[in-house]
Amino acid sequence: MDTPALTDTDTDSHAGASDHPVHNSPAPGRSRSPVLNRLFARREALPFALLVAAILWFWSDNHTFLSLLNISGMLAYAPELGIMALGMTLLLTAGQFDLSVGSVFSFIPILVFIIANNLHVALTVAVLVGLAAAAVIGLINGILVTKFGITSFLVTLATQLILAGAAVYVTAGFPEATLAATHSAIEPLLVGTVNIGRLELYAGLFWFIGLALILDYVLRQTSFGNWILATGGNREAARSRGIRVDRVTIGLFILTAVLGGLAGTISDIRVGSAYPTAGQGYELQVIAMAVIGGTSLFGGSGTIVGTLIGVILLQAISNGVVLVGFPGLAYPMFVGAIILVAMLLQSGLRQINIGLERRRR
Amino acid sequence: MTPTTHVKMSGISKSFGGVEALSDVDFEVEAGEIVGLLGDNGAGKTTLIKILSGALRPDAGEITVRDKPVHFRGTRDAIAAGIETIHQGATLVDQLTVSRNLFLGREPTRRILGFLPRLDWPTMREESRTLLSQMGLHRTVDPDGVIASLSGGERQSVAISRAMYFESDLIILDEPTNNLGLDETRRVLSFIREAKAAGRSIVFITHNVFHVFQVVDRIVVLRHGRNVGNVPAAETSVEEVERMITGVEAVAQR
Repeated sequence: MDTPALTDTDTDSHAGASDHPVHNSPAPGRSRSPVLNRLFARREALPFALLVAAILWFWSDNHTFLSLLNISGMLAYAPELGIMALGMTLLLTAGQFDLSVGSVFSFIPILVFIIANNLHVALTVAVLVGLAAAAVIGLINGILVTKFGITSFLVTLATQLILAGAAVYVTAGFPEATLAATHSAIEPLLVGTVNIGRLELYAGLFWFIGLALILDYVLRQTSFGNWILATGGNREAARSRGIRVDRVTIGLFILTAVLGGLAGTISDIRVGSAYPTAGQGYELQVIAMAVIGGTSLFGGSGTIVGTLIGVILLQAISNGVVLVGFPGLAYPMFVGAIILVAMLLQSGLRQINIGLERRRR
Repeated sequence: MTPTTHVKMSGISKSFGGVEALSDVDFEVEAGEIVGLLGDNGAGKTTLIKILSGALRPDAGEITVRDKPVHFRGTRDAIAAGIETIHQGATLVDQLTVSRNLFLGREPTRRILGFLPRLDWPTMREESRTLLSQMGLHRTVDPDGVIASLSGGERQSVAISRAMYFESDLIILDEPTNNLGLDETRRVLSFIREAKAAGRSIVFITHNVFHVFQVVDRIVVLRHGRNVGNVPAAETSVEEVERMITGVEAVAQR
C-alpha cells in the first residue's frame, strides 16, 4: 500500500526495501521535505481525509450511522458497485472508460435467470453462460474501440443503450424471478452470509475484497500492470516498446464487463429479483468512485486502494445523508458536491506540489 | 574495417490514399555506422523509419537485416530483430517512474511463493541506477522518480540508454535533439558517439544539418519521397546537404 514518489505511479517500496535494505536510503540529491511531500503526494490521502470527515459528520449527527445494523446494510450494498468500480479503475488507468457497465449489471442477471427459469439448467451453468456473455460484450466494446478507432465514450454509450433496451424488451419490463437461486450450489458463493456477532456480512463483500487484493497486486506488482499504466499514459510509447496495447485494452473491457455481470448477478439474487433497470446510472457512480479515489480520467495513473476508499465514501454518503435528515433522493446532490470538492482539493494539492518541485530544482 | 551491411532497404514504396509518401527508396546502414537521414518536413523520413521499425508495412520493396530478408508485422518483430526506435517525445511514459520506463515491455519478474509473478524491483532499481550513473547526467536521477520530473535531455538519455541496455544493435533516433538546450544536445550527441563506440549502428533523423555533421559517418537525403543524396559526411558540406534538402539547385549527380 506504499506509494512513494511524486505523482507516484508507485513501486512497492516496502517489499523492495525489505529485500534489499540498501535501496531504502533516499537517493542523494533528493532534497525535498519528504514527510510533507509524501503526504501530499499520496493520491489516497485526500479521499481518505474526505471519508473520515464524512463519517465524523454523519456519526456526530446520528449515532446509528455506525451501528452494526447500519454498517451491515452498507456492507451488503457497497461491494456490488465496488466490484464494478475495480474493473473500471483498471480500464480508466489504461485510458478508456465504459458507460455500459450499468446496463451489463441489469442485463446479465436477466439473461442468467431467463436461462435458469426456462431451460431448467443448473444455476451454476446459467451464471457461467451469463459471465461468458458479459465477456463477449466487453470483447465487442474493446474491438470497436481499438480496431475501429471509435472513442470509448460513443462505443459504450451505444452498447449501454442497446443492452438497456434489450433488458426491457426481453422481460417486457417485468422483473425476472431469481427463485432458481434458492438451494442452488452456487448460491452461498454469491449471496451467502457470515455473521460476526450482530454484524452480517454478505459474500459480495468477500468477492469485493478478494478482487481488490488481486487487482491491486496486478496493477502495482506485475508486468501486466506496467503495461496497463503505460497504455493509458502514452499509448504510442507503449506500442513502440512492443506492448500489445490493443490486447491490453480489450482485456480490460472484458474484465470490466464480466465484473459488471458478476455484480449484477450477486445483487439481483440478494434482492430477490432481476429488474431490467437495476443498474441504471451505476456507470457514472462507478466512474465517480474511481475518480474520487484518485484514478485519472485520462489514463496513466490509477489506484485500487483509492477506489476502495471512493466506494466506501460514496456508500457512506448515500446512507449518511438519509440518517442526518435529507431525503434519500437528494443523494446525487452530495455525490456531485463531493466530486467537485475532491477535484478542487486535488488540483490545489497539485499546485502546491509543483511549487515544491520548482523550489527543488 | 570490413563494412558488412546491417540493414538494407531497397525499392521501398508507400502510398497513403492517393498520396505517394515514398517511391522506390533505397536505404542502407553498415554495421557500426552512424547514418544521418535528412529531409524537409514531408520528405518521407518518418514513413521510411516507421517501415524499418515495423510500425508500417511497405507497399513494395524488400528489407534485409544482416542479409536475411525480414517481414515485420509490428514493432515487436523489429525489436526482436534488434531494431529500436526512439521517437521524439513518444518513447517514454511521463506518469511512470524511470525504472518502470526503462524496463517497459521487458520487465524482469520473479516468482514469489513459487508461482506468483512479480516485478523484480531489486533488479530494476539496481540496473536503473547503474544505467543512470553511466549517462553522465548532471544530477542524480532517482529511479523511482517519474519521467515527468526529468528535463528533455535527461529523457533522451534515458531513452537512448534503454535502447543500448537491451542490446538493440540498430538504434533509430527520430529528432533526438529537438527542443533540447545546448548542453543537453551536446550530451545526446556524445551519447550517440558512445553508442557507436559500443558497436551499435545508428540512424539519426533530423533536420538540423549542424547536429548531423558532428556525429554521422554518412548522410542520406530524401526529398518528396525519393532518394536525392547519399554521401559520406567527410566528403560533403553543410551547404551542399542543404541544397539537397531544399532542392533549390539541381542536385549534383554522384
